[in-house]
Parts: sequence; C-alpha cells; structure tokens
Amino acid sequence: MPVQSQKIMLKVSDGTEVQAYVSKPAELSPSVGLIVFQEAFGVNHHMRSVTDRFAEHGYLAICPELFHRTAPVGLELAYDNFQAVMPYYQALTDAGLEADGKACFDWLTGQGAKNIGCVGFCLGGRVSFLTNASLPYKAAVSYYGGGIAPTLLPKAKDQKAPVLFHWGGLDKHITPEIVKSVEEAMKTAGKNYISAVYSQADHAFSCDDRPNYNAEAAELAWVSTIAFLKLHLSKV
Amino acid sequence: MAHVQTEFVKLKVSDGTEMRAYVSKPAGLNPAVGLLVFPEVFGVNHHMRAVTDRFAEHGYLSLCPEIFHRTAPPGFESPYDQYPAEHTQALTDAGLDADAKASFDWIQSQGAKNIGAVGYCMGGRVAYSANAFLPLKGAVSYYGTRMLKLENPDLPKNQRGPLLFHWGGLDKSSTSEQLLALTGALKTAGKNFINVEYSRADHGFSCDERASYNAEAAEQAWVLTIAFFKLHLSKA
Repeated sequence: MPVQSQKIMLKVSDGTEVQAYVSKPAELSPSVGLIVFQEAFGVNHHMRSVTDRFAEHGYLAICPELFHRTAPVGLELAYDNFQAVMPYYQALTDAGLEADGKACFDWLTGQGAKNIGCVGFCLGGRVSFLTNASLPYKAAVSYYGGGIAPTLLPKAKDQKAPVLFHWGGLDKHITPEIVKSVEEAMKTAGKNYISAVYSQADHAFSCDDRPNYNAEAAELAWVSTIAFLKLHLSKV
Repeated sequence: MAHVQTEFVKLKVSDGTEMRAYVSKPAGLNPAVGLLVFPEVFGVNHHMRAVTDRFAEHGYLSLCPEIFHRTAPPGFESPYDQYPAEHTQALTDAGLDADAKASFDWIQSQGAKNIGAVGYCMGGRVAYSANAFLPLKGAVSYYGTRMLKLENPDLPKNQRGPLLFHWGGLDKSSTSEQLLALTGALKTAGKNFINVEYSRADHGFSCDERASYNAEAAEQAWVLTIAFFKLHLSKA
C-alpha cells in the first residue's frame, strides 16, 4: 500500500532534539507502531526505504537519527568510510539511546499506537535489545546486533517483549560464540526469543546497498520478521 | 489455497520390501515441485496427513511414507503417549535411506523437477540423511534431534541442498553442545543452512495434536519453511 513520509523533530528527555524519518501507511492501522533503529551510517536511503517497507505492511514507522547529539541533522555516511562513523559511534551512550527510544515510543503512543515494536540493524540491532529492557514493546527484532555481548548481557533478564535475533554465520564481529552467549543469557533469564543464524550470510546481509547483501537470507529474515511482528503486535 | 486430491500408493523399495505412502497433490496437473514429508514416530497419522495436505495446498506434490513398513502393518499409528520402541529400534540407516530414495523416485516419476524434503522428529533426521545423497533442492528438519547422534562423519560434508533446522529450546533430547557440533561441522564444510531456535518450544512443538504444541513457534516455523521452499524449489 502507498505510504506518506516526512521528517519530524522530537524533543528528547535530555533537552536535545532528534530528527526522525516517519513513514505512514495510507491505510493506517493506528494501533500498531514500529521504531526502526538505524545502522551506523545514518538514516540514509536504505534506512528510509526499510522504514517505508514496514509502513507498506501497515505499521506507522519511525526511524530516529541516533547520532543527533554530535552530528548535523540528516547526516549520512558512506558505507566504505567507517573512519568517519567512529567519532559519532563512540559518542553514543546507552542513556542517550534509551532516551531516543523513549521519545519515539512516546510519539507513537501519542499517535494512537497501542502495540509498538522495534526492528534494528547492526548498531540498531543493539539498540533494539537495549531499549527492550526499558520500553514496553510487544516485539523486538535485532539484525546482527553487535555489542549486545558482552556488555549488554546483564540486560537479558530485563527483556520485556519477545525477541527475534537474525545473525549472519560469516559475521567476523559476531562469532558463533558471541551468538551463543546471547542465547545463553536469554535462556538463563527464561526469556522468549527466536535466534536464527544464516550460515552463508555476513554482517549487514539485509542491506541491499552494501556488498554483504545476501538476497536469500534477507528475504527469509524479512518473512520471519513480518510474521513475528504480526503475531506479537496484533495481540489485544 | 488449492484443493487437494489424496491417495495411498505402494512403493517398491530397493531392498525388496513394499512401503505404503500417503500422497497429497493440488487438484489438477502434477506440479513441477514435489515434497517428501518424513513423519514423526507415531505413524502417518491424522496429523501427518494434515501436514502433507497443507503442503499440497501450497502447490507441492507431497508424499509421506510409512517408515515402519518393515515391522508394522500398513496404516500403523501409535498414540502420542505410546512410544513405539519396537519399531523405532528396528529402523536402520540403510532402510531409511532406501525409503527416502523410493519416495524421491516416485515423486520424480510423477514429473516433479524440484524436490525438497521436510521431516518432523524422526522424520527430521531422515530428511537430513536423505539430503546427503539425494539431489534435494532443500531440506527442512523440525526437531530432528536423532541426527545429532548419527556417527557418519561424511553426512555434514555430503549435504546437497540448503538446510533449515527448527529446534525447540526446551527440547531435552538434544544438548547445546550437540547442536554446536552439528552446525560447526556444516559450517566447516561450507554448507548453506539456517539454524533457528525457538526458546519456549519443546520437542514436537509443531504438532497441534500433541501436548508440546506451541502455536507461536509453529506459526513462525511454518512461515519460514514455506518461504524457504518457495525460494529454493522455484529455481529453474
């Protein structure tokens, strides 16, 4: 279905303002909302199109610019220039990310959304996990979330919504041992999760603008994600 | 969904035995895509026939063989609370492989060009060993934990079609060490597999006639399985 998109500015609890890309389906089901957490390269063309894609499935979707405290509004970084990313990445704090998540969550609630979930990619995958420990999501999806293990593992016990993890089996930054540690932490905490490893996919396999794009893994992960969100965000 | 036609066929197996199988096909022409549906240990019962029908509704010529045919009468079914040990103990690797081949050959003789396999419990183990010597385009295992005890070291490296494993996180018939050993061996062999764990699901979670049925995990696994077959069995 067609979507309408716009950029909005939200006030964050620490006094800053964050620009977010919002995509709204033409036939809005106001009770479901989705926060889309970006990779490390800004809310770029790919992230906007991902946000649009979720809106096409009926979700009011919002993608906040997580680097807003240190980067200019609308900053986009080239995929092959991780050096340029580093200062913004390193300036992130968990408190800031949680506040950004809350600003988006509250905005969605204000728009009438009752069931809210999140989907994050890479850096955003970590943010999904982080914010699922403090926000009452109904579902959290994390694609190749680096940095969940080891530092965020203590938040496994605080996970509120069920989590769907997608991992690339070839990811050199997120090894099988790291994946196992996340699974074990979730298991020990008795949490509801699905953990899926795609053996021939690498980090960022879902991003069709990047060289690691793996169309098969991306398609299967997408189908799983949509089913997961439908299952958990449809509940009364 | 397509209307399905069902029948029982008698297959000649290479060891001279005869094996009955339940066949379900979309009404009309035999499709180019076929599916071997390998059953749990309780026989080709109502549930397995319903599963076979469900795949046929999605366009697959589907066949579910009676793998206990050497020791049990045609149409053998066992209640879920009665584990048919006398029949499971009589199974041999060679017998199961011969049964898989007979099933494959029959489906192929009906004109199917792209053939996959899906198996549940014991059937999951059969799908995995069949994928080591039959030109399957994809093989799916639901809690096929018996495969974890197979000692043939060539099985991982001989896997032909892509694999999809669904495991229940609560399943006591496997350990995480065994699962890591399997996925590690497949990874070393460079195989294409997706490994999915459903934390709150137990062995048998997809069977809506068993106590371990978990509707959420079953639905997620189903969606992924159908997408997996669509991706891999549609290739020219």
